[in-house]
Amino acid sequence: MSETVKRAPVASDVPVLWDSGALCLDLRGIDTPPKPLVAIVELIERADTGDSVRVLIARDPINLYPELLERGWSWSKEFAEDGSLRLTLTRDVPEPPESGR
Amino acid sequence: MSFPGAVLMGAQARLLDPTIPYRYFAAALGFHILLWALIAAFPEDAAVFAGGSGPALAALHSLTLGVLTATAMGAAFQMLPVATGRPLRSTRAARIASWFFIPGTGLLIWGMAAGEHLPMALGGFAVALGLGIFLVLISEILWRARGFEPLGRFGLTALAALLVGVALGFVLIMDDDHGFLDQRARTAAVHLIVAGFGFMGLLALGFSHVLVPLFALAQGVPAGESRATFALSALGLVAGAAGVYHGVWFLAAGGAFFGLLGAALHLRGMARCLATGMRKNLGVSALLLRAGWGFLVTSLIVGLVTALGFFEMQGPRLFAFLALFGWLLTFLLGVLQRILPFLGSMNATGAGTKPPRPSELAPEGLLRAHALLHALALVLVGTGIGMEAALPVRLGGIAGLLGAVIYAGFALRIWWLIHGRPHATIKERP
Repeated sequence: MSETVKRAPVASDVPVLWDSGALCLDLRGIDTPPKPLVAIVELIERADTGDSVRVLIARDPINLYPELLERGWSWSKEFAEDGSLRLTLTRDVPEPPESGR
Repeated sequence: MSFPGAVLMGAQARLLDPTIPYRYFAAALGFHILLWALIAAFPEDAAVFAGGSGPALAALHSLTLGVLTATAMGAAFQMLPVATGRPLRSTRAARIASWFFIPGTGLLIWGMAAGEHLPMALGGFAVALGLGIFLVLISEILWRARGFEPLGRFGLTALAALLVGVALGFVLIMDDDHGFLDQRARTAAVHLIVAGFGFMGLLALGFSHVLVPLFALAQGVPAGESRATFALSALGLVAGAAGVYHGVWFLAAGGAFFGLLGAALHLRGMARCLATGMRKNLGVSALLLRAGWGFLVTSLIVGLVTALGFFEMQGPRLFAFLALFGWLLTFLLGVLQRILPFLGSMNATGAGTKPPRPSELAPEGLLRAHALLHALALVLVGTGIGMEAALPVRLGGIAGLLGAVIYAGFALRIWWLIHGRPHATIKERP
């Protein structure tokens, strides 16, 4: 169950929720491109977002993945019974510098 | 365990087979080189072009069909299903359209350059078949996606204009052999206005509603503003075409005036997207987009002044050059600069491999060199047309040719980085 947290909305009016220990966006009712993309990128670019974000979205946001690659985030997804998608976005762990001999 | 490579495979199920958009983009890159080569080789023809077959007409259609329409077809087949969530009804039909359209364009251009009617007619017929398939496939997506107002409104009207433009083009090809048109020059001018401003122009305005906010990561244009832009642009198109065909010049001038109002409203929305978007640095592509918009306004002003009788023959030539080369070509090159690396990154993933970032696929130096040469070409050819002088046109053609080769190199580099080399294997997380 998602609940609203005290964070400024993203993409001007999309509320930021809290779900199972991570910030969450429910974008299932938003079908106007590129608003879902803008909302997700705005949230992961905020300094206080943390390392994990969940997104509920009506269809696969293909345009999002190159943006995540640019920002060093990975993603996994699972389809819900109603055909919508649940994305889990995770900030990549920086690779440790190679140690010299 | 998940990693980008494996997960993007799911996304790829909704992406087209990349050979479909890329074949159109590859054709566009080839015709881009050809058009500047024709201008460089036959500058006298371009400097005083007043219609009729020859290298200038061939160069013009190498641009309009070979570059602009081919790119629009590739981009529409790839981007519209992604943007609207409505899949393409038949990918086989999209391939078949390319088999007619791309060789047909080549044949048509050959016929125009050589002044031979048979290849012109056969090429024109093949182009019409390819465009007919495109029209059916894309109008079906746009019809199902009518909820996406700007795309539907601008896109469906652009396709209607395409139908009229193709029909007029065919009439002109037939008239080339049989000479039955009373008003050939005016019919050709209406063909240019309907195909250039109606089909390509409205499509560019409609796609901009999605692409520019996507590039800038900004909110879209408000619906009311978009509707007003569409109404003014469509009114300008109809008035301009009717005024030119009937020789009612105040009506043609009114068309240009309404077009200017529509363009101003559109550019206000686009400027707001760029100013308020999260991505502030769009690199060289932003320069090309802004320059293209500047040329849109300039072309309409020249069209208005020409309709009011202030220019002689240079007026229509400059109007066509500024609209097709200045606005549409420059804008399209700016859009492609961003789309190609983006598409490349989306298409690059195989199981267990990490796709390259779009920024890795777009070297600024190469793009700056192209933009500089493109700007030089526009200035020189524009000057040559204005002065009816062949030398600046030739020098501009050479600059454009060099720029087109560099641009093709940029695209080939992306292809090589995606398909021609093994990717680094991504490490699984512990």
